[in-house]
Amino acid sequence: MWCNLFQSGLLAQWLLTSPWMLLWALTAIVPVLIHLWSRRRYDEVPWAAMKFLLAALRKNARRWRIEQLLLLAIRIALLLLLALALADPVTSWLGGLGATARSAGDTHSVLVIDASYSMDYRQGDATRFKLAQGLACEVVRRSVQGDGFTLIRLAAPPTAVVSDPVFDREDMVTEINQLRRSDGGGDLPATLAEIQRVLDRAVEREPRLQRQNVYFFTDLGRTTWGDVTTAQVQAALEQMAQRAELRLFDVGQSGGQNVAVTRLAASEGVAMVGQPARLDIEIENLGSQDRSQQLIEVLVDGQKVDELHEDLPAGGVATVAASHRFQIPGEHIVEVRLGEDRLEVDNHRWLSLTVRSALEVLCVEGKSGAARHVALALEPVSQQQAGVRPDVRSEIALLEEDLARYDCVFLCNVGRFGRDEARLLQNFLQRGGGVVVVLGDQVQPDNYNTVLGIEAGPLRCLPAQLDQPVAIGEYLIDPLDYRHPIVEPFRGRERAGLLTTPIWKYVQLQPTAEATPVLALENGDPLLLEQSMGEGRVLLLATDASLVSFDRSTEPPTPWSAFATWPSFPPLVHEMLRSAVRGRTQLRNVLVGESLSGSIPRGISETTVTIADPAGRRQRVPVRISGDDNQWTFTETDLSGVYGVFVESPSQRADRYAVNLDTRESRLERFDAELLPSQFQREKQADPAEALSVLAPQAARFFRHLLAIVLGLLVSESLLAWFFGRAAA
Amino acid sequence: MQVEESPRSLDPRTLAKLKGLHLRAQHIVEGYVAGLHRSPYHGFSIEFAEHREYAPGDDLRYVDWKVFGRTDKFYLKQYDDETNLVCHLVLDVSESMEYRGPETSLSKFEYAQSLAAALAWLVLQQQDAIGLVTFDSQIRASVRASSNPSHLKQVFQVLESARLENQTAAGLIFHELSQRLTKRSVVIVLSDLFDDVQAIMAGLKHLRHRRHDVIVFHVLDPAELDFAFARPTVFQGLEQMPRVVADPRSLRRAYLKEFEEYRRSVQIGCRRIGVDYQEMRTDRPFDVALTSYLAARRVRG
Repeated sequence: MWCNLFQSGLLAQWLLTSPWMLLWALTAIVPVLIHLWSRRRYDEVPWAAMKFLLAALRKNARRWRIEQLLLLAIRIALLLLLALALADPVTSWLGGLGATARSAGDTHSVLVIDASYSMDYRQGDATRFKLAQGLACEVVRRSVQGDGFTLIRLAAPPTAVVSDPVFDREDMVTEINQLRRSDGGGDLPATLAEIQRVLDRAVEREPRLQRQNVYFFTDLGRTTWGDVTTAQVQAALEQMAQRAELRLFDVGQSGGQNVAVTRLAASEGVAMVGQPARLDIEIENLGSQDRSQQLIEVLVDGQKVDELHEDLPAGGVATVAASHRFQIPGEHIVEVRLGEDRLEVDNHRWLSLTVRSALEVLCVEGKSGAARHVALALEPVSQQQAGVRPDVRSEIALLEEDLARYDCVFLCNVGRFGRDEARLLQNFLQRGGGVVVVLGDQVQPDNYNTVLGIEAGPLRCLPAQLDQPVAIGEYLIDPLDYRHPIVEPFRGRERAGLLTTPIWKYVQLQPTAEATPVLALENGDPLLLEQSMGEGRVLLLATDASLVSFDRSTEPPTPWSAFATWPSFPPLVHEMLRSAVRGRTQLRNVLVGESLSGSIPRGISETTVTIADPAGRRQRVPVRISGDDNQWTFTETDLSGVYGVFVESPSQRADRYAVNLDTRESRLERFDAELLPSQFQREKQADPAEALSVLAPQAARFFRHLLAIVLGLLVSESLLAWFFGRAAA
Repeated sequence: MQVEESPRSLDPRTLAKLKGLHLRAQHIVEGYVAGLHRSPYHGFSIEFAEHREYAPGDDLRYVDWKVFGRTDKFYLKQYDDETNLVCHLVLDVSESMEYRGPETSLSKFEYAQSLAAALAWLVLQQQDAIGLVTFDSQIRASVRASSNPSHLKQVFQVLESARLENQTAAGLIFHELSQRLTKRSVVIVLSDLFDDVQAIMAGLKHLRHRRHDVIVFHVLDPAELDFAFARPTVFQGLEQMPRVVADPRSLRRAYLKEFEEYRRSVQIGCRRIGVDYQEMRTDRPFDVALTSYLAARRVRG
């Protein structure tokens, strides 16, 4: 009833939280009744000196009447305002929460809070994220009874934290305050899709909520909002604006100062015990002010091992190298830490690094002597303390040996494979092992394609389909601009002989979509391909790496290549080995939002995998059967830091994974708010605190102002009554 | 002439308990005379006429000591010209005189009536002639001046028979009296003078012009002077004045200002034309009025 009263004209801008309290306004009639009653109680006397009384009346009647009416009006207004204060009015007259105020109890508000990590930027005493939470809480508190709220976390991927309308404001405020920031960016298109879904659900489940509001609380970071101008997002906004009012609270500021660790990697891929491991660190000054002697700390397993200072000009990048000699084999966590600044989250970067005392390599030769040069290249001099220990075996070793004890398997000119061998190789790859396949004259392409290739289905472990060997010719190597890390060391070192390596015969390869070309021939055919398989990596060389493959169609027989004797061969084989075994390390280092995964040998029964995130929360993840292994995958990597993976089996394995930021968000670039689509109503306050202050009079308990006026009227009434009485006396 | 303290018999509240004008007049005069330090009876004429027994208040200068020596009694010597003073009481009997405030025991008329009676008594006791005129908008009754003691009864009858019904027109009446009173006399006006001040002054001036000694007893009720009403009041106008509803507290200041202006204009007007003005609050004793008269009598004598 009361709501209807307020749905027209100026009154539509007002809302009474407790309209029934307006009944107290009836007490305003009391002063009138007292006035009338006192008139009825007049004394009646005869009066002789009427002439003078009339003269006094004539001169003062107007003033006297005005005084009486003024006092009466004050008394009535006093009671009316008191009743109004009790009714707890809220107004949208000043703008702001108009929709909320207009639609008492029938509004569904979707609160979308940007949780990308640029929201962690500190502005004054609070982060942008805290400001956004505060604003969202204010919106909830200033709503009216009966309004519903849902909460969406703008992240990548977005999350509908509260997907069905909640009507308890305190519950909603608690939800908002418990919302966690992500260490990733924001996916606007996906968030808009989530909003649509939530709106649809609300319409379906709560048809009473006729009005829809969508409030965005964001710093307008370019990485998140850059997509807003795309046709897909425009269309989504267009559709959303037809059913909901879109309001955007900008909590960001331009000109943020920030320094970030943008890269941390071990240059060698795999570190060896006792040997210096070089760590490549990249620091970027993303602000407009120079930083002198920026502190860079290097920690290994939590212990500081190095401290550097670097000058960083505004917008500049510093690449520094640190070195550390690991003494214990196993997994280690390297951390790079910068001094404090306003955005703390990107001042850290972690690296999960495997340190080995030596790399165990199984060299399988399908033909006698096929792996001899590879083994020689891997271990030029037989030494006890060698970093690589090659073990040359015949092809039957695949079935006989426990591959788990090897880091890498070189398959040199193996003629054909059986299914069991393929399964073993597949498992080996899944556990992070490296496989290098070197072709030769023994190789049966059809068998390779069937057992290891694309036709092998889940057992596939080749990056290409093999065609037949090409005819004898002279083929030169194309380094593909030395883009791949395997050949990158050859850049500028032509004398190493990579480009002059004689190749007379090779197998034509049809690379898979996932394969990465490392080397090619000048005719464009791939020579060396790389692909990740499970946690491991596989490399495929299209020609021979020994001197035992010949094309016997010529007289004398022509060797496939002189690769094995060329000076480029030893370093290339080492690079291939490093790359092949890098897989395990790379999979232990992912970006926020990417999934963590691992495998557990099938033989371990009743396995449970528990993930502990950097905040210390533990979560059990399901284990699924894949091939001969049990696989687990964890996708909720929205915090950067070190994740512990605990495999609660009889072996009690504990692995550590490093999850780092995608530092694009660190640039703090803002999307130009003026370019926002017209569907948004944007709060224009540069300072979010001002936005709060603008909100305050709208939804602030207006009764305080009214009570202040009532108090003023009380004092005024007393003073006026005293003054009028004094004037009359 | 000094009055140390007004006797209780002169208090209007005491007088109000007495019934009958005669009794009241006697009460006033006896009470008044008893309180005098010395007799105001002086200025008698030279020609001896007869002896009169001494009465309290008589001037001892006129005691015949020879007779005292012979008879051991006090006798005063009386002279022929003793009764040459003529006094006219002019009493307002308009409706406004009927007003009695909540704090007083006598209405203005009752007060003025008692005062007039007392004066008549006093005048006749002094062998002077007393006359009476009652008026409102016109002269309602008139008693010729006479010094015969039996004349007092006639004066009292007129005083008691007065009816308070009409408006006042004091100014016109004073003009008319100026024409009627040919012999120089003392004219005592007893009225609230609720009429146009200029008209009143013009009338009084006319009387003065005729060489009458004029004494004005301005009879006012304390309520009219103080306007001490607290509650909202309906004032029923007398003398055909309208009915007014008002809050006296808010009006008091303005009313008192108006009334004060009026009083001051009457006082100043009287002083200017040589009229003895005496304000008579109806809650005050009568001796002030009597003393005023005797002062005038002494001047004339």
